Amino acid sequence: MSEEILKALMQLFGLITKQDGGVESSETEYVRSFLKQQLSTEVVEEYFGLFLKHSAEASKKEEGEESGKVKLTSMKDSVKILGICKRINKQLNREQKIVVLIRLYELISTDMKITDQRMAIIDTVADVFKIPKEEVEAVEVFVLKNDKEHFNTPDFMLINDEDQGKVENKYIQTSGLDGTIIILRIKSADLYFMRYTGDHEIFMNGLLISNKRVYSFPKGSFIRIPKGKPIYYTDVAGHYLSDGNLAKITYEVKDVLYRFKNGAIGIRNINLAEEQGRLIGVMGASGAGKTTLLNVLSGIEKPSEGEVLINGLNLHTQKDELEGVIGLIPQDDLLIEELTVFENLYYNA
Amino acid sequence: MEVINIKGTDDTPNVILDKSSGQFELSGRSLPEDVSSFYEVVLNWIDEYAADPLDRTEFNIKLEYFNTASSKVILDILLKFEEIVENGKEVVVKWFYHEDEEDMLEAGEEYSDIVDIAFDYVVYSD
Repeated sequence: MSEEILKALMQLFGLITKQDGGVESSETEYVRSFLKQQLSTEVVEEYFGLFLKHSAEASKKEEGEESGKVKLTSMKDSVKILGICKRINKQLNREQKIVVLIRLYELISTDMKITDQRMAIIDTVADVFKIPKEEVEAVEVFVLKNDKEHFNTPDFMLINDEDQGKVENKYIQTSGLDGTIIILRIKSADLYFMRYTGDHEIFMNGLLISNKRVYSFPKGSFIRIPKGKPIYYTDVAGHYLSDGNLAKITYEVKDVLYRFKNGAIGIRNINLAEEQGRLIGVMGASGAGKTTLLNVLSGIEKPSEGEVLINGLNLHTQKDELEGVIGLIPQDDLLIEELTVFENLYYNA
Repeated sequence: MEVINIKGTDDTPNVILDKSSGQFELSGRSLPEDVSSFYEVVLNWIDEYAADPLDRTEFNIKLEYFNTASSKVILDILLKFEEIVENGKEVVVKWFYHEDEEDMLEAGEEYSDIVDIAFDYVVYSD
């Protein structure tokens, strides 16, 4: 996160927490630990000071007012918040805006002091950022709610011990896991976030997960749980990809054998079947036949025996019907530097 | 252009928008239940006005209080007036504040930092 965004975030954190009775110790703690994750220890205090300044300002004046009356948000604060958002709006991309929104909700979730004033401020931030209403609502539910019934929209996925076969939720069943891992997908930014509600020690990419925090779940991540198989990014993304009207793809390799021109057998007895949304690795020593295998599986070389089927169509004999469906990018020395990743893929497809 | 003249309540402001007499005013208290639906007509009117504005527009804002959600709409209104300025016409915002309400003065100053419009601050007492 850039210096400017972090500064803006500290001001927003401060202005939100000072509403309705001021900063709670849990919030102060949250801000400090948030900064520690982003910065080296020396500069943490500098930003933390900025937060304290904004959360404390003007509270002297409010104390003078009669108690018992609901305190209205100061107009100066409202406009100040607008100014901060406007300033960072142009520098933040869509993903970063969602992250800011999530952090604001996370901040108020630390003490669950969810008041109209605080929510109005977050709504206004989302409004200036032009984040669609449905996504703001999904983020709010994701960060603040715990009951399963709230998570029954397609944005959510639950990972827990229960068999949820009958509900519409996306889910992965993992036996013996305490609590639930909740996944939220923000479709417009293609981002995933996760939080955990239980008491087991679970790890994401080797880091211990706290059940009080929200984590982003980037590409290539995996979650390790005490019992059972780890949960990989592709497992999660696969559930979302299979949504909607995208054509489903099956890929099947049956008894493939490939013989070189000199008669030596390159690969044999290859059988596999997969669906869309899977990421697969092939390991083998140098000369074991990885390249040969990929050449056959991608349609470049014809197998001597067996067949490769995509949605039932033979990759080697019905090429025309599968045009554009399969592609191969060889090792990086064959990438064309002048082209973008997309163009490289397009060219190779 | 039609004239908009909305009488205020405890939660909604008075709005007068009258091109022919050159009167533009927002006053009272602004904390409507549904901010966007209340201000929709106002924003639409200003859009239409911005297409063919007077050479000089004096916009009086004399609010006692506005809530966070209203603050965003007020900014949207000011941004529309900023466009008029960009198109070469003059716009002045007269920002009224009560002598005991420093918060209102400071809010005006914050606005003037965000938008490129001339602000005149006018103090009043009871």
